[in-house]
Amino acid sequence: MTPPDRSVALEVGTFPVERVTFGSPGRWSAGTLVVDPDRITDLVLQDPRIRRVTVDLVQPGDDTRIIHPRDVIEPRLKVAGRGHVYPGICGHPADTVGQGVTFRYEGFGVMVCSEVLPHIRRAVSAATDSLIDMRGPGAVAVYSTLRYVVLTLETQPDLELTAWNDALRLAGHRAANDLAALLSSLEPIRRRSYRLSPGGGTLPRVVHVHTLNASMVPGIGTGIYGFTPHALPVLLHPNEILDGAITGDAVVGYPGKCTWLHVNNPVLEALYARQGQDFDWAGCIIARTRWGALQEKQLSAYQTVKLARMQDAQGALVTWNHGGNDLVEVMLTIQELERAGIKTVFLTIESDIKVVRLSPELAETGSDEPPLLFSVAEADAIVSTGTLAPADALPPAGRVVGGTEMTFDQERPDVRTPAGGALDLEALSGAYSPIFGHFDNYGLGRQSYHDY
Amino acid sequence: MGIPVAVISALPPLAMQAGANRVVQGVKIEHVCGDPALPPEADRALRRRIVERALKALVTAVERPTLVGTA
Repeated sequence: MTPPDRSVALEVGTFPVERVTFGSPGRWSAGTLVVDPDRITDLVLQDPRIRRVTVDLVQPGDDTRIIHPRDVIEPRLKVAGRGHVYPGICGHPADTVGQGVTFRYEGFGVMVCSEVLPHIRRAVSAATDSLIDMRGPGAVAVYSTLRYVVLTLETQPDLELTAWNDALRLAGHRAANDLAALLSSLEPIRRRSYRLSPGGGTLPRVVHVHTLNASMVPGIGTGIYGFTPHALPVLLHPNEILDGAITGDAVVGYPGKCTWLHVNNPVLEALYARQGQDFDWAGCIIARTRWGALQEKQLSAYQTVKLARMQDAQGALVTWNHGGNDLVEVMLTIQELERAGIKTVFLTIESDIKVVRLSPELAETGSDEPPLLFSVAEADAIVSTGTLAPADALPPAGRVVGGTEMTFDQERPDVRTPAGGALDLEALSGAYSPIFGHFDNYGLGRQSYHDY
Repeated sequence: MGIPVAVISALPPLAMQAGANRVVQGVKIEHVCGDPALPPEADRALRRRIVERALKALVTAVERPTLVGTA
């Protein structure tokens, strides 16, 4: 008698999007997505917190600059199996996902744009303004390669932080769910099955130590099933992540929390491509970063390593999605993994925001500071995804979507720059890059020397 | 010679890697030199202990980045 199959298997059906047009009714056919703007507008305006919405279509190569992006959502649909994609937020149940069949669009996202409200700008330093150029020298990040339905939202002006976040996110997910539902009875262009090999063989076991920033501001930030606070590490099946178990907020301008990013994380595809052949993949240990106290950072690192040992890991691929002091616990984790005999590779963009500025000269020669804010001797295998070195001036854009003006200096919110003109990023933005997705922790864009 | 410096840091490993010679452990990033979660008198005592430790660090001879005193 064969034992029951307890493995977690997910089949993902993909519908590529090669064109997006307005029309009615909405539908997908042979690579063309038809979007009904009136239907989306009605859906979004069901929430009284939203006063106004503009629906735009944006495609790669357009003479278009998108400003005030708050999140990007890839529409996905659970067509078989338990739970709801992007669980635990926007009223979706918290059932464990990652099994059954999920449909998705490829190369497409619902983008939520809204200028940060003044009182939130004052309270949350990370709620910065950012932009996406769809062509030209600023189009270096992956977000310049996608097609979008852009929802530019005007909310009630007095929403407090978590209500503003909820309103923007709900609008995006309502639109995404509605577009995903168009796929329910169609046959995907391709299907792919995701299942971890059972292990117990002769292959080395590898774990993905998937560290994720948790916000120091309560109520916002990257969520695991919507749970955002700092917490001790948890083991996720990669299929949970493919079903949207990791979601971003709509506040922080930092792209490492973008919802689209986490279901398209190239680390997952790369590990799936080799697991069962070169190694057995033991799953993803999610360790939250940006703890406030050193002892908390140490505890998180030690517990992460304990989980890796209990998974019998011999190797660990370590990633992070943020910058700054998060690197302390990431490096402590690498140190402890190596001391436990677990070999590590760390995937990271070079430089911290204060170290490498935008101009190519400075990025090349640098200051005399190291390319990482903090490091340990045990971190001796690091793969670079590149630097923050684009052209330091962006040409004017013929069309601006998402708003009209930007604030580059958070300390001087009254200084506003028309978004459609030429932008001297070095002068306007200093050490912070306003290009959404520029801090490219997973190597999705074209910023490494390999890419050049 | 020069002027001795003691730094109170929430993250001594970072301060020491940056080359700070005399490092004193602070509370946490959000409130390095005190703890608003404590009753006012206890917070005041904690702040005094940290500052006294920093003053002691100033007169401590060191040859390399050193964590002075312990919690």
